[in-house]
Amino acid sequence: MKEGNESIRKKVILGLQISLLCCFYLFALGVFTFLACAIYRSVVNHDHPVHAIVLSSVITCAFLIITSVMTMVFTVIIKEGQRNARENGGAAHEGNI
Amino acid sequence: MEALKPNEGLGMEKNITKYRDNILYQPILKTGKTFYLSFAILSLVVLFAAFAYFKQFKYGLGVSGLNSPIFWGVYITNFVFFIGVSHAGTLISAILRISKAEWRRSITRSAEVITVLVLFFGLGNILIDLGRIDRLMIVILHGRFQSPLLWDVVSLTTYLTASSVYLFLPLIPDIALLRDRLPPGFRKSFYEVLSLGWAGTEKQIHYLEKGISIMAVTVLPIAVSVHTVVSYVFSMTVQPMWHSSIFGPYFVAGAIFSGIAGIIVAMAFLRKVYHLEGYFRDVHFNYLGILLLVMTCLWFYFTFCEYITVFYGNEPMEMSIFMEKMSGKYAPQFWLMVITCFVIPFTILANNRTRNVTGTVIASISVNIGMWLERFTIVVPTLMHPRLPYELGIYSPTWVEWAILMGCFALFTMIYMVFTKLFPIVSLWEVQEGREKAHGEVAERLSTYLPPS
Repeated sequence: MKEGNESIRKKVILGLQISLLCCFYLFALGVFTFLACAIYRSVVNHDHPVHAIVLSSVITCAFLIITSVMTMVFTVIIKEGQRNARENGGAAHEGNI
Repeated sequence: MEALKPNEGLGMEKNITKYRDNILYQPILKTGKTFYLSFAILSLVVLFAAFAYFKQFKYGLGVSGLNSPIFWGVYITNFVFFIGVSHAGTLISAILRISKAEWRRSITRSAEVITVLVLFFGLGNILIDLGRIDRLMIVILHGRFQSPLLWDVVSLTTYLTASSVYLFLPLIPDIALLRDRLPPGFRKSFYEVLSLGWAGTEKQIHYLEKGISIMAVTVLPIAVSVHTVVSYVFSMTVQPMWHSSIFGPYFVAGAIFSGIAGIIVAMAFLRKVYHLEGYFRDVHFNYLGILLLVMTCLWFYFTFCEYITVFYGNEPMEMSIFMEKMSGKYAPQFWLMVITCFVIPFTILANNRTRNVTGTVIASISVNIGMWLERFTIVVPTLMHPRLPYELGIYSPTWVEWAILMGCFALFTMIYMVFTKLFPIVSLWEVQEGREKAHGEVAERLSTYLPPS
């Protein structure tokens, strides 16, 4: 029973950790959508689209870098943490106790 | 690298006070009466500010001193000021990290937190200035990229995101330490989620350091662009004394100036309250004091250049504003700004004997007051004499604006206090890493650039 509860707890924690990353993706997606809409509006209305394209490109680059860093750090740390927990047969540092 | 490994496992929580850096855990483990009392007093100030905002929301911006043509006042001053202070984290943390300045280790965290928090207050003041908060949707749905106001929106969003990530990444090993050392409960689960399963493996360390390095390099140009774009809100108009090509660097220099002052004040506060004399040492205040002295001189140089150009040009529209600042309605604010931004800090910091902890803190408080006044004297006098043929405007902030300003500072302090109760305000692993390998690294670095003996 205790083991079952612990297993569910670990899954919930993992789920929350993955949701953190997903929330960030949603936010980044919102920013990209906002930029795409701004470009679309400026092109459709012939409203100096070059401004929108140049500025959106710069912001997109910055967000791509941030998103890549978040993906890299989150995936590596979470995966390694899981692997470490499996190898130690329990929580991340139960093996050290 | 031992510093990045949470070396004690579950069940070791009773030994938490035996660690070398146990004083850094004390604010997280124990909360004294003073904390609650301060929190209650600050809450009252915030409630009063909330009441003032509610009044403004109900009756409109008419309850503030804003009018036509002076449609920007204290709120926009606050916005520029807070965005400026946000440069604390970027400068102290990213620049010093990239340049491998070893003395940065214990002060980076407190600076990075300031950056993230004050950005929210900068953005918040814009929303307050909008009057009706739902107008934000107009910016999102119908914003045009020709407007510097939209440049501000996107650059601030990018800066806030980058700063938050840059704050979070170095926190991960410290959160893992707390996860492994706190007794089971809600807080332990909270740290368990945020630590992402950090175990200090070689691969985790490698990728985390890579991530921090990339963010340190990324956040610098973003920070510079943010305050440049903030200055463009003014300088891209053809208003007298705003339409200036040096406004970008002038604003960035001012931002770094107020940022350094902000971090010195925060460090002094933390040192006193949490007895962190061993981490925020005299040498930190001395080094930051020297940086502040350099920025004092740079600020004076930019201000002199800006005003002498206007004076020598003698353009009537600009001269009316110039004279308003020198000897008119805004002369007290202008001269107080000169005293607090240059005379006081320069006098204190240029002298070795007065550049101690107390002196540096006095100079920093003076600079923060001065920089707020500087933003005020940039924003308001120009609108008093706009280029278009409006009637002469008069602006005096009302109690609503002062209450909201006080509320901003009180809420900032409260959130900062809460942060210190949740996370170590000094980066534990960076301090430990410094102890373990800084001596060797510095010696090696010295040998690479000193001539062989």
